[in-house]
Amino acid sequence: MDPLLSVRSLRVEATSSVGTIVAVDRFDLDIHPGDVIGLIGESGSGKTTAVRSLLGLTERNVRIAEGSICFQGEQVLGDGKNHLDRLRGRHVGMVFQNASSSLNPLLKIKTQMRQVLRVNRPDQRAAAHQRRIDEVISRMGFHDPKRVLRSYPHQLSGGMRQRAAIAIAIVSEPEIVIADESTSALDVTTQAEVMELVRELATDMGHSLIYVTHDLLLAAEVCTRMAVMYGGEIVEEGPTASVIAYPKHPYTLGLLRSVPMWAKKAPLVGIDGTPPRVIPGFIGCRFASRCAHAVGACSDADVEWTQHRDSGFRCIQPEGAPLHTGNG
Amino acid sequence: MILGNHRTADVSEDETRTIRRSGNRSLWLMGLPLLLLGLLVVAAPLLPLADPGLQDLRGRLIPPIFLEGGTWEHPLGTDQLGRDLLARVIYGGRLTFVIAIAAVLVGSVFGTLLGMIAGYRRGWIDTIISRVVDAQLALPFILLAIAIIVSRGRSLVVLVAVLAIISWAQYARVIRAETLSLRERPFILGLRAAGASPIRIILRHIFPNIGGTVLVLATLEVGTMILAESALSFLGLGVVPPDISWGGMLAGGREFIQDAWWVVTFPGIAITFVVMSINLLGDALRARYDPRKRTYL
Repeated sequence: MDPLLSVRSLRVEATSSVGTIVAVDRFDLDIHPGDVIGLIGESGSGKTTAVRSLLGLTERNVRIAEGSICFQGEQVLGDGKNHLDRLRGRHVGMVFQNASSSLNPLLKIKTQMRQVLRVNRPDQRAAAHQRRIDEVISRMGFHDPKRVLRSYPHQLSGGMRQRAAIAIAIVSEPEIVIADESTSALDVTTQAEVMELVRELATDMGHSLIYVTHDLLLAAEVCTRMAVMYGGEIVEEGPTASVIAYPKHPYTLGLLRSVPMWAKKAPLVGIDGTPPRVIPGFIGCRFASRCAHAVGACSDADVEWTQHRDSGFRCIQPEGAPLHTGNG
Repeated sequence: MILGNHRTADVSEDETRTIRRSGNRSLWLMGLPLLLLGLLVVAAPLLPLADPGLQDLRGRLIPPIFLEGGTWEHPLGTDQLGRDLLARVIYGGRLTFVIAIAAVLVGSVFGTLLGMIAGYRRGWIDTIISRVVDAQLALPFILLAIAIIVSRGRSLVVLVAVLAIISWAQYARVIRAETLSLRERPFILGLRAAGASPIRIILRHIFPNIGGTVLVLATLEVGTMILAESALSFLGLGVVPPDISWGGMLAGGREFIQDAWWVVTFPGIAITFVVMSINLLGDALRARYDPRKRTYL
């Protein structure tokens, strides 16, 4: 099956008064219909910059230095083309971290949904828009959907607002929904509920979901595939089960070992040090300075991607041993 | 805010409602005199007033009714050409208001649009607009007015244009700053992600969110415009007789101020009263729409 969205060797640079850093580098990602991809990484790993770049929604000081993006086989970025604005809203919807401020405080939820439809589905009539709004809102698990439609954002609770924001993002039926830390501001129970809802809505309609988070546990619950980012690169990518059970990259392993639930038999281990500042011209594995298995070759040259069937990693000393050794 | 972190949603809603209600009361209190004056000025032709342009050289400089020699025929007395002052103050208000409001409309529309574009687009557009604003604010207003009026001639359109040129930069600067902070809010990013065009975002989403500020600014500017118009008319750059404005009346009566103080005093009082009322109304509106008091969700 052809991928819905295909990103190749994306490189994003951010320039500030201090200099230029490489926020995202050698970023390859294929999204197939029905995929729920978890983009995992710590703060500053470039995950948010990467997904915002997919939509051309970066800050002024951030630019896409190279890379190509194809949507449904058609090139939208690269070879001097930049048609990312055509994807926004119509084909790719986005839910942001803080729903409270991602809604216009002056407009009713109904109005905000209708506007998204007017912009992205101008060919349909108002009655069709209304039907679509009613359908989407009734599936969001609201106690009283009609009242939510009539409400202003401040009249809703945090969880309700987040669900309203999701309703707005999916109302024009985008093929891909990007949820950027969408639940981090909610409490744990609501988080799981909302994520489950998003996954259901996306996959029921055959759409795909990119879930950007630093919460491994939550990602493991809802995602079919996982991509782990470090220092602007994807260091490991594969089906959720195999990434968790057989992590190949030492960083992935380190992440898993720092989750209490999975590390309950083994001692809880953190990763020493901090992520490097990746400046242009940086050579070698980004993780080498913090990696227990690093050898000289790790820093001598850029590490190539190793693909084995449906998973891959970027390491010359991959971990062979599974996480749950012994009785785990 | 007063209750610190422990206030519940109910309390905050009650609080806002109380603020709203008292805000409404002071709005009415401040707006009522202006409203009455506005009605008076609009209904002037229907009132039993003397013809404001009718000269009576034998009845020059008649004092107002409460002084010796005053008559009920001219309750506020007459000016140097024997014209009824009461009628002239009321009719003069018509043109003064029209000019001030037209100037504010033109100035606020241009200033707000440019401010929103500069704040939203940033980059070179912002640089150009901001530098023009700086230049505009650095020019002395009287000098600019003299230059334009001398080269373009005296007319109502030119006068409104001059006043609008004087005021637009103020709007542009304030609105740009508000737009700058607004555009960083996630809902604008959300709208962009949803595919909304910049024009739609500016007009449908940014403008309503800064509308309160524009309203406050525009209200305060009406007062400034009345003063500016009076100043220009006083210098002989304003309305052309036989049209009447308050500033023009001040200019005409200046020579007689020692013998007939009432000729300049009544239009002066009118200007003071209106400008003060407008400023008080503006303050009441500001209390309601102040961005610093506005709580975002």
